[in-house]
Amino acid sequence: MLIFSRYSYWVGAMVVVALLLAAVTQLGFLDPVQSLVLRVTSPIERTVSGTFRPVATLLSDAGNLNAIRDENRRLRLENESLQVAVAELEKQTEKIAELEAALQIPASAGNTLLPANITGRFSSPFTDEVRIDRGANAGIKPGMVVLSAQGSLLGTVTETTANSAFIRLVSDSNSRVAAQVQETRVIGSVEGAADRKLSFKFSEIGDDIKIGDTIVTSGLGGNYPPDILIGTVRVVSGTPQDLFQNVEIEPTVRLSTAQTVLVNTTFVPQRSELATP
Amino acid sequence: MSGVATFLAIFVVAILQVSLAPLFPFSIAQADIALVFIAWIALFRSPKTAMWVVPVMALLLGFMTNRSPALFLFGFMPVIPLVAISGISSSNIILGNYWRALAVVVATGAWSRVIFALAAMSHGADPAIGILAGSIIIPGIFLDGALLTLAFAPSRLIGLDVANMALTRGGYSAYERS
Repeated sequence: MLIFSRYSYWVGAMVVVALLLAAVTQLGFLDPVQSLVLRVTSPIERTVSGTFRPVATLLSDAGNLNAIRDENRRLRLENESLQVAVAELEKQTEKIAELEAALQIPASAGNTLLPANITGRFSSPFTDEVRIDRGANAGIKPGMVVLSAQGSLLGTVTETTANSAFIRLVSDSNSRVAAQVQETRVIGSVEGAADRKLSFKFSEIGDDIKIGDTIVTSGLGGNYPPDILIGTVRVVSGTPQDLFQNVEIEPTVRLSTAQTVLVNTTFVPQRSELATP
Repeated sequence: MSGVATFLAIFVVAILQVSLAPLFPFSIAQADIALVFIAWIALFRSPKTAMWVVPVMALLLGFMTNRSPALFLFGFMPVIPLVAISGISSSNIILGNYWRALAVVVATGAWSRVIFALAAMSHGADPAIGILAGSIIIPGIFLDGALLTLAFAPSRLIGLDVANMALTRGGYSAYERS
């Protein structure tokens, strides 16, 4: 007990240091130091991560060989039908452009997407965040929407330093995205969970949701632009006694292996406008 | 191990924690390389060194992950008192010390994960206790234990002895290795 009582002085000191650190961090006094540390560590992290990623991918794939074969088969079929759909859409796009030109409708301003590389990932319990190598100096601000290289929703910027930004992924347990089913326009909220699975919440029993339906952002609330792809419905369950259905979503982007992201620097989220004095 | 070498080691471990550990998850848990490193320092170097490694590591990880360093500090805090009260001593048989060290790392690993989960819950995450226990704590402490074994065995093989944890009024009786 004597030993413990002497160590208790150190524990007491650390509690005081922890409280001081919490206060100082909250007030932002350490931001310049953090920026400096990240400037030094980011390239090293990227190198380490890039070196070991192939090994990690190999191990991960080796454990899921059957699932990957099934996925591959399914994706081939999906690819075929998507190619047909793309051809059809291209025709329609041309037609729309011709009609717009004929009616003299000005072309809508596109979104500016800033590419960035993921330099670090931090997945503590219930948390799923990544860090990118672009920050405030590149015009990135908290609240901006982040997409995968293919344009699916990845998350939002939570904080920036001069040359880095932290992104909360949609699979984070604190992530909430106003969403809707593209086919039936049923609205709800896509939420992350502790196990990093995505679910579509607040759809009532009887709402028309089927496995394979596409979930996109609804734009409600003004924090995300509408019609950004999030994923497809994987499971729909619930009993007539339940208030809401249990809808699980398969994200379109494989969140754990994404390496490049696109930050939408044009769209101004509602919460950022509110925060601006 | 000089102060500079220890600081460099902290830096390397923090980078590995952020860039390497997430690549090799077990279930949805990842190994706590930083915790195992702190335990190793407390076991094989000296408690005095481990006492300053804990806040420095917490600060560095806080910066690199954008989480409050205070959370990391609270998470790592039990490791040193636990090493001290676990009875780890150079007079024990080697395997006895290994089991004690394993118990310390497992207990601190579980504590640290609970701290982070509570922090997330306080910000609105659903209190998924089942997932926390079954998919985060148990796989996580398994990884930490495996990592400790990987660190403990070679350290003993090259002849490193565990540090003496007894504190004296004038400081620490654990001898410092240079």
